[in-house]
Amino acid sequence: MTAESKKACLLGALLLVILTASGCWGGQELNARAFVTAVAFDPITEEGVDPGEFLLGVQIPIPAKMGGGGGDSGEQGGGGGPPFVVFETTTKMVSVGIRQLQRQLDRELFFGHTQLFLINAELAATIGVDQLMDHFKRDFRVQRMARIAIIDGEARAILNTQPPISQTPSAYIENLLSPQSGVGINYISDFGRFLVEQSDDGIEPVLPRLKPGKEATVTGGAAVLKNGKFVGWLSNFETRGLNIILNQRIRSNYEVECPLHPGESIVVGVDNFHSRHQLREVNGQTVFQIKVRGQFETIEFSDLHGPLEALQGDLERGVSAVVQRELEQTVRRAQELGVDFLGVGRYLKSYKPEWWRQVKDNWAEEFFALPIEVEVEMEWAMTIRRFGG
Amino acid sequence: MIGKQRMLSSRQITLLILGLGIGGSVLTLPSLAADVFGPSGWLLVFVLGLFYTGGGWFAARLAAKFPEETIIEYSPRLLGKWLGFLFNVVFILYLFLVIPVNVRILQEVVNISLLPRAPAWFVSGSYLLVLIYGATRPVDQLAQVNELLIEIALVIGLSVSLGSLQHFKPLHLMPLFSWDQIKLDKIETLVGVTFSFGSIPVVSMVVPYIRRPQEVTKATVKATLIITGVYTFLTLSVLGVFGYKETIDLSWVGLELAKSVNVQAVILQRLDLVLIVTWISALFTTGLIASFLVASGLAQLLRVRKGSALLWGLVPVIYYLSTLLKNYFVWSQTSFYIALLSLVITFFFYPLLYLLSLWKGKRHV
Amino acid sequence: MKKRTFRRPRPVAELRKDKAEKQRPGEQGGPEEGPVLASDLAVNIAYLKERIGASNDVVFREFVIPLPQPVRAVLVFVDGLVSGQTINEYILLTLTAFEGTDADWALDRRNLAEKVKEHILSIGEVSVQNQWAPVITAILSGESALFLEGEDRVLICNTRGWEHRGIDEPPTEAAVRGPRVGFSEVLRTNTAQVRRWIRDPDLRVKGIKIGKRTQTDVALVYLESVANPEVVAEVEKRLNRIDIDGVLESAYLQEYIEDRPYSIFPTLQVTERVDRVVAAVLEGKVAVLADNTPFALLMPITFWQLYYSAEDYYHRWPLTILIRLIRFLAFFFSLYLPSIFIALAVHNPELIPFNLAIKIAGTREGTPFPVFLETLFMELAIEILREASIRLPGPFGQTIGIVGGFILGDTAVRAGLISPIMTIIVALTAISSFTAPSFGVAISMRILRFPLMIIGQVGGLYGLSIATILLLINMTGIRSFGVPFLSPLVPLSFSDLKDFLFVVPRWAMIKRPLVSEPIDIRREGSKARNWWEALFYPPSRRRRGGKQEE
Repeated sequence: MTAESKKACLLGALLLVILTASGCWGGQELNARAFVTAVAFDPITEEGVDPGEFLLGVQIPIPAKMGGGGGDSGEQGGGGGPPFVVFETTTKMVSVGIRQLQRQLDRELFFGHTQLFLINAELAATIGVDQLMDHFKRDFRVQRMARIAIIDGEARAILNTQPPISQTPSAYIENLLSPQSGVGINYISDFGRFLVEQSDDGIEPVLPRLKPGKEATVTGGAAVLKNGKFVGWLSNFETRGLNIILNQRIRSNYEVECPLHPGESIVVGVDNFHSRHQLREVNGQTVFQIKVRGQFETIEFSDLHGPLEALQGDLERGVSAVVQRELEQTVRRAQELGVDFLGVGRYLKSYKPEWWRQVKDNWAEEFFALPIEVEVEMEWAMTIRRFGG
Repeated sequence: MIGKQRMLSSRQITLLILGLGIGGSVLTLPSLAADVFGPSGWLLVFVLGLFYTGGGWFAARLAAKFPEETIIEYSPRLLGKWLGFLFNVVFILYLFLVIPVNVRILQEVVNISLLPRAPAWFVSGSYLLVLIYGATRPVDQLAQVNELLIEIALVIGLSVSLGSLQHFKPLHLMPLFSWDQIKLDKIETLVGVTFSFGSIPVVSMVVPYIRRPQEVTKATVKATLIITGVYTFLTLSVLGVFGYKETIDLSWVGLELAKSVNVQAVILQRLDLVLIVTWISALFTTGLIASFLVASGLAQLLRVRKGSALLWGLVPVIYYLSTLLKNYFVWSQTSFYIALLSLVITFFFYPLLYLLSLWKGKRHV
Repeated sequence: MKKRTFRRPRPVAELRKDKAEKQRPGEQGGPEEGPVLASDLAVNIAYLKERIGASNDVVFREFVIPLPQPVRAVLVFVDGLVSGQTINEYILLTLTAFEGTDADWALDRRNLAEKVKEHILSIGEVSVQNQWAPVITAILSGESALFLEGEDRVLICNTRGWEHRGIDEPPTEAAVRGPRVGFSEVLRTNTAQVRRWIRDPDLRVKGIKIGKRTQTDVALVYLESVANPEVVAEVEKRLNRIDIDGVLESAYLQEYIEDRPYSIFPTLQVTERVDRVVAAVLEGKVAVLADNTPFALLMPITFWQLYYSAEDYYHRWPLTILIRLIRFLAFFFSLYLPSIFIALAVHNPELIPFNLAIKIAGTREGTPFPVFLETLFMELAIEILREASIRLPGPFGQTIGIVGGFILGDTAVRAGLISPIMTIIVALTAISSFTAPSFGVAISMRILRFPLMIIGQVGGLYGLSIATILLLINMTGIRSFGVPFLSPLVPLSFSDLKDFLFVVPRWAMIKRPLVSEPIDIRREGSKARNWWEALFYPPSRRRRGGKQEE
């Protein structure tokens, strides 16, 4: 047994020697890396450039300005200028572009912390989100939880704006993209979800839309992709409709006309949307039916509030009609664009695989011709806090 | 014989079977299953698991009939001298081939995630040394190591799959059975799926060490059922989270699953690396047990007293074999042949040997 | 009972002994074959003087016992080891002032020693010897030898009494709740303390003398009807094999009887708390106490027991659970924290949340050393500080801690030599390592931390996990007197999990820990309480119910 222990010691020593003799593989100090927090893709506006080329921008925070030396870092913190830098290059392939950027930098670009991919809409239409993201799809270090958005305007502009409260634009945008208002698409803003929806048959992904402004960036609306290329926008309300159809748990407000006092409006807060899809035979024709149920609550009256008991039936019908109009608008938009972002195809694939096999090859036309019916039933939850005005 | 002391509990036998079975192949199993069976890949895994439970039952009954010997010792008596020798060679070859593939999987996983720039010889070399060192320990120590490591790996692995259920969509599992997505012609992939199940041979080798040999059947069936459950659950959650198309596209699905788990406000940003770190131990147990079985099997076959010396001698061979597997496709090809061997052993030899033992046993009485 | 197999390395002592026996056969004579006393007093005294030499602390007091035929006698003792009062009052006074000129028994001079012992000496412990070796040992260990004229036997009187420390609270194992007594340097006092706690006739205190030159008394303490006899026999066997010139501390014994002499982990527990030894003996363990040291050895043990403190059993169980969890967390920190930090910072920064990573990078901006060297320097500095503060006398030790830790660390950070995060990590590691109740295991962790740091730098998380597996393989191979080192975790023992990370209330610990395989398994006679009664029928409710019936 002593011999065995000796062998263990020997092995340990051998391992240690191997380990030390071999140096540290790929190890890099934290400060030798440049953390890329956001990546932006923009088209080149100059004349006469190759249409395949694009502008690749990366945002890198400056650790000394962001980290600070703790309490007594007065001399570091207020160093002036934003706490990040943006580097740009033109390229045809993303990885080539990264290599070009690397030449300007003394630190290695590191994408393990990238939180944001911003793609200009024009570029997304010509080159396509798929191709732009291909490099990052294959990089194991890129997180599946990174956010991805289509920009209505210059993507670089977002990288360069100093956000009002947060330290970097990426943190700002990341928070902005998380589900809040209900009018932004939120079910797919992360990269992993995008890849999943992208690969799935019978549904086209939509991506959140961002619009850079002078002071702040605004979220709302969505970009519709077809085969990985941008084809059109959804408005805020269409996006909300899509969220409801796809069963995203959202809360939102609707403004409806007061049934008792024409001209006055009531704002209702809606919660607990629940949508069900089914196929129905109507007069020998198959109809795709979207059934939505939900609960609302009155949250604001414009002037006259009327007796609540009398209001109930009419208000429920009114809200249902408003929601239904919105959903129908979303469906119409989908059929106009010829893009099935509602997941009708996926539904067919799952529940009517025979049928799906026949139609999947020219699904765009079939989808356009398919009658889609929306049925909305809203209930007043009536957790009233105030009876009077 | 290496000191035949009966010191393993039946729980440790169950864990040994789990330890050999659950390993690197789990990371790729869902995508292979999806490749063959589409969205109902989990059903395939489940049914295969049940088949293997049946195979395990035969193996365990057979082992319980000869509580003092390993299969290497009694197979020549049942099959005849030459056929028995041939069987033993096949048996040991199967276990042996598991090792280089295991080393290779570890090296791939580590190189794509934890140490992207480390040279392959460093990763597989250090792993192999520790592996063989562990495999030359006495069997009770081995069982203890295995017990600890496989439990940690299972707990972490299952909690990762549980965590990923936040993205689970039942729609991804539909349609349940659609013949156009079931590609039974992909026979190679189908056999490749079975690679993950080939852990039954442990039973035939460790029976002499079990404290109560009559419990071996229960332990084996329990182990194969657990394996089936774990695999089915994992495949189910992978398919539900990714949908089968994305599942097929991803090479290391298990890791991608961990990547998609979104846990807010944790100390560590990403779960996938945590999973890898613990999964190294699951990989390790596979290699460890396989190496141990090869060592003791070879020692009995060649009538050598020290199997550990043989094993140290095999280190260069294993290393060389692991570098031979040029890329993912080659080693998945290799795993096809290994799985074929395991299929033959489990579903041909074990029932055959069992029937022979029944017949010969009767004749002697 | 199950067959116990001892898988242990042959202790060094055994090897040495083999060698010694081969080299000089026959020379190792037992005391039986040694030289015997002569019947001439002068010859005996001359022999003794020659043997002991010119040591002036050995006193030869000559006097005459006034028997019918006066007998010349010499009392030999070592000044300082004996109690002067005992010598004066109970030996010299009784013998010289004996009014026995007419004692008939003294007429016959045969067996005089026995007769003196029976009739005159008024001292508790007296024995008669006729061989030189035990006599000399006895004299040197504080007993007095009474040589009589014309008698080839000598009377050995226990007159031991030397200056020693009182019973204090052990400084290395202080406790908030629990008895404030520890062992002292006197073996007799120590065994007496154990005896005072356990008034069981089955308590055995077996004495062995170890050390060719020091002749140190060593005592084996165990409960005959509880402890596994095989373990006791094994301990005794290993102790008897020790062939060494001196035993200054129980550590000398420890290194000889440990299972794994090369392992970095101690496989015996060292304690100076009486209650701890008593608890261990009650669990069926064997304690080895040595003279001249307050530190007792307990065996067999498991790794986890090194992380239990005596106090754990005096608090209520929910608190114990919390304390143990924190202690194990601290154990993990003290072993892994620096190496994991290095591995993450150097190889996998993507694992660190972005805000933290950028913070760390920010504080490290401009520091001159790489993470690894920085950690290494700081860890070394802490080790040096720790050593320095132990060596310096009390108040200075604290000062050096403050000066070193606070001023040095803070100045280094201010000067931009090291990053603040590093001081946090190193300080956390150091503090964590102080939570280990056993000094021995804390040292193992301190030693292991350095190779782990190197591995973290070179192999990242992969290296660390491989190293951990190697460590586990090593640890599962360790057995402490037949007990697997990592039990009850592996091999899993459900019964013993009651006293692991999570503890159950005392009344639910019905069985003794099974790992040490006691003969008597049950600790409680009958179920004082069972859990459902405690849960559904607490005594308060039962009593109230009774009153209502009245």
